[in-house]
Amino acid sequence: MHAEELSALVAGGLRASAWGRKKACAEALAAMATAAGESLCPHAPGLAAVLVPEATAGRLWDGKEALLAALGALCCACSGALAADPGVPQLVAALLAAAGRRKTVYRAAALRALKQLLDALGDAAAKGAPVTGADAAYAEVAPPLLAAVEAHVTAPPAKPAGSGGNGSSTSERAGEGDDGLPPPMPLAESLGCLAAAWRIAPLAVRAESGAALFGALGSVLVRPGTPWASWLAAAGAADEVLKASAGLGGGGAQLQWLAPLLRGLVHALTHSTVSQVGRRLDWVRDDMSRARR
Amino acid sequence: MTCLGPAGKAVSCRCPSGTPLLSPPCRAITLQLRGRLLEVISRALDAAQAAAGGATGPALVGALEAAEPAAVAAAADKAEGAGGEEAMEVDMRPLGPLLQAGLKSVVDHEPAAALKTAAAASLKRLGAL
Repeated sequence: MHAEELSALVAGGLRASAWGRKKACAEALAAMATAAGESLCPHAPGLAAVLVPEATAGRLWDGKEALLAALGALCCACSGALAADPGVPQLVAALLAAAGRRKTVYRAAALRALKQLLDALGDAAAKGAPVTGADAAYAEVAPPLLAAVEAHVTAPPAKPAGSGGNGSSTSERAGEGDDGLPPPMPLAESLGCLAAAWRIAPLAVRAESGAALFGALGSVLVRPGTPWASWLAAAGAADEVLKASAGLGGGGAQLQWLAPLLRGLVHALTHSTVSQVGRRLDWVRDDMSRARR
Repeated sequence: MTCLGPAGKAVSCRCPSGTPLLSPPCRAITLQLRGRLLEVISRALDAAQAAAGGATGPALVGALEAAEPAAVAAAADKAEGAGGEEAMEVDMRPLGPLLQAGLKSVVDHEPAAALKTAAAASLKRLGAL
């Protein structure tokens, strides 16, 4: 009912010079997009015209990720309107650029927003209403995200973390900024985006790219020292990719793709018990020898 | 984070990365992770069966192994690239025996009945039960 007035107010707040006001307006916009859904769509292009540059360009400040969350919520509610203006390639490029910046929470928020966009495009395609520009999304997101996964997989194995953390991979924490190179994009979020993009990839693109994607998923699962959260993320992504491939017109999966994935899955299945028991026994043995001394 | 407990109910859990999955706060995560892995293995076997023209049992295992030589080499290279002693943890047996051993260890040693059943169902499809 008051969508136009509210959108104008929020857009004004997003342009404000005070970070706190920008953040509050972004949170309000995320709540509006979630509550209003499609009724916000006539105003979505105007809001995106303000939000995209505010969220993805300029200097990073504490709480800026709230703008990315608002963009993700807007993409989720109004993917069709945003595909018309500013367009899927522009949104994908802006979010990927944000995901390549240095601050971990900001990068993760950019990839979560990208996943929301890709999921919304996938849902539209599943309902038989494909969105213009969506079919090119996989080709845009796959190269940087597969490179990020590769960087995590080839990083030196994790040292057991004695402190904190909630399951993020070690290479997300280690080396952040200390070698002058930006760290790879977060693993779990990268895998989630790849799986979401696979849902809207055309069959010809799937046929060309399947080996790389399944190989990447398998290599995360088979990597020694992978944290449980990364295993869970890879298993979830594999599940989504397999479901999309098995669906009507999904194109299926080739045996050559499935073999490395199955090898990774069974490795994680085995090592979530046996190696853990071994480590536990080592600890008990250490405790006993310390007590003897 | 919310995990699924033994009865399939959501339970709160906190399991910092690097904490052994068998330590008390991580049991719910172990169950959730292994349940998910078994679910995806079953889905991957569905896909393999479709790709192998509906083959089951030894024929399905044979088709997967025939498709694998290049994948084994790539995985070995990658494991070597990761370096260190832990690279030895990667099991380079052919895929058939590897799958059967992994699933059989769940059937034989897993306390959770639902996981045992899921593993047994996949083993049966591979003709090993």
